[in-house]
Amino acid sequence: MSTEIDTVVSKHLHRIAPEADLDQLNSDDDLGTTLDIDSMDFYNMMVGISEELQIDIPEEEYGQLRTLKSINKFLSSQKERDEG
Amino acid sequence: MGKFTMPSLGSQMIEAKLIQWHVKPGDTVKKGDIIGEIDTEKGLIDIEVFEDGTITDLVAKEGEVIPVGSVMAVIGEEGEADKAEMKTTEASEKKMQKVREDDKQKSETKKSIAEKKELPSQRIKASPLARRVATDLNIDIRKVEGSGEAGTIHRKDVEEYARQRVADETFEKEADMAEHLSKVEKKSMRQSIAAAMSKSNKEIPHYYLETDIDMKATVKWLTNENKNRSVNERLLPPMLLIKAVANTLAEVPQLNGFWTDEAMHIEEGIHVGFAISLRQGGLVIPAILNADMKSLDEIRSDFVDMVTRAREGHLRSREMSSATVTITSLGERGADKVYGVIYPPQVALIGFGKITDRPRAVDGSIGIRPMLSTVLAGDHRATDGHTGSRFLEKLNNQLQQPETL
Repeated sequence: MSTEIDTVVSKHLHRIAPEADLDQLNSDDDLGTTLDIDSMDFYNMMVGISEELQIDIPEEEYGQLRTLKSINKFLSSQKERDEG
Repeated sequence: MGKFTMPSLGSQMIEAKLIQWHVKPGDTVKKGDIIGEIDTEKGLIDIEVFEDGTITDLVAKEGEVIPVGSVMAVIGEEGEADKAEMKTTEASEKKMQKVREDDKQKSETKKSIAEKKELPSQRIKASPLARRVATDLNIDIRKVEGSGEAGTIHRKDVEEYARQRVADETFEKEADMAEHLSKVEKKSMRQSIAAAMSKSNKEIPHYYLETDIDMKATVKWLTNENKNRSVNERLLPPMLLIKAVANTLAEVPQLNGFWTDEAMHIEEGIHVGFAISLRQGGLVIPAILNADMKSLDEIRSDFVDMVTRAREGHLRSREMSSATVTITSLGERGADKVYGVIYPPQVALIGFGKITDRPRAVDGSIGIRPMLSTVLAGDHRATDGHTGSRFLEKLNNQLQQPETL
């Protein structure tokens, strides 16, 4: 299940930052500063992920969703909650 | 018979390469249709036509580099290309007319309401309020399409018509605007920015006015509003800033327009250019057209659409050449404030820093408030500090009442 999340997150990250080498990215790296993603990119990424995984991402969570790890953790727990 | 020429997308552009046509001779086109794609120093741009008609000739060939102002296509009046076929019997002519009418009906969108001038003056069903609003706005009520029962015209129909009329008029002006932008050598995007900014710095005597706007009310309103919105309908601060700037310019129009031929030309349409940086370097400044007349949600969808297309390289010629003012916003990770360089021939640029929590005296004590540094760069040939100061004051007022944006 987490593989699906990984795939979707990577896909949308690649869409907004096509030149970035995601293999070089550590799961703790701040996406904003490492990949130079602005708030509009982030917004587009959240819209894409949310639509594809059918998971709502409340705006108040945006602040903590700055790394691959935190995005993954949040999406996994939302998904479990939705399925549970 | 009209000639479609290579549009100028800024004072630095002198030519562009035609990548492909989306139309062929004989095709009917409507004002605003995208008829082709060109490659410019600003990336790939979709080009639009500024008149209705039929393509009679495609002069420019795909792959050809065409100077600004050169004829690319010839557009005849609607149906002109069919003239030969019209010399047939009356019956078939009638048939063709019907076909054309059917086509017309099919493609009829709200946009074409303004063109229904040939409507006969039948008995018009309209509410008294609609008639009064039409009189006030100097609108011929016969041209308005009613949305009510049996085509009854309501106030909102008249207002929609008025809105469309302004948009149509702006469209025509923009077609002319490309003409008076001067030409300089075409180079890469970097050099095109360099040329524009050098010209600005050399010719425009900038003055800067700065104020800190307390964003507590705006941020609070935004947070609440977004709770009720799905992820893809949420509002971002720049959307509110665009709307607030547009509303303020409606009140202080002196900052909206161009300095050309040693004089200020105030523009009626408020087209807010928004600087978008590109990942590959450089920036583009497409405009949200008639931003003062759009709702916040219309601005939201225009903005998202525009940023996406800017980064994919599918901006439209009209968006690239029509900004009457520019906003630069550094976003949440940027610097605290920005002193911008005006994009000539515009006369003002509004720079927004990032919103940061800062101590602020509020009602006699110190509070922590989300503050937004706002810097107005004005062209001192066109306006004075007094006008700029009024602008910032009114902009602040707009942002203190986000619910009215």
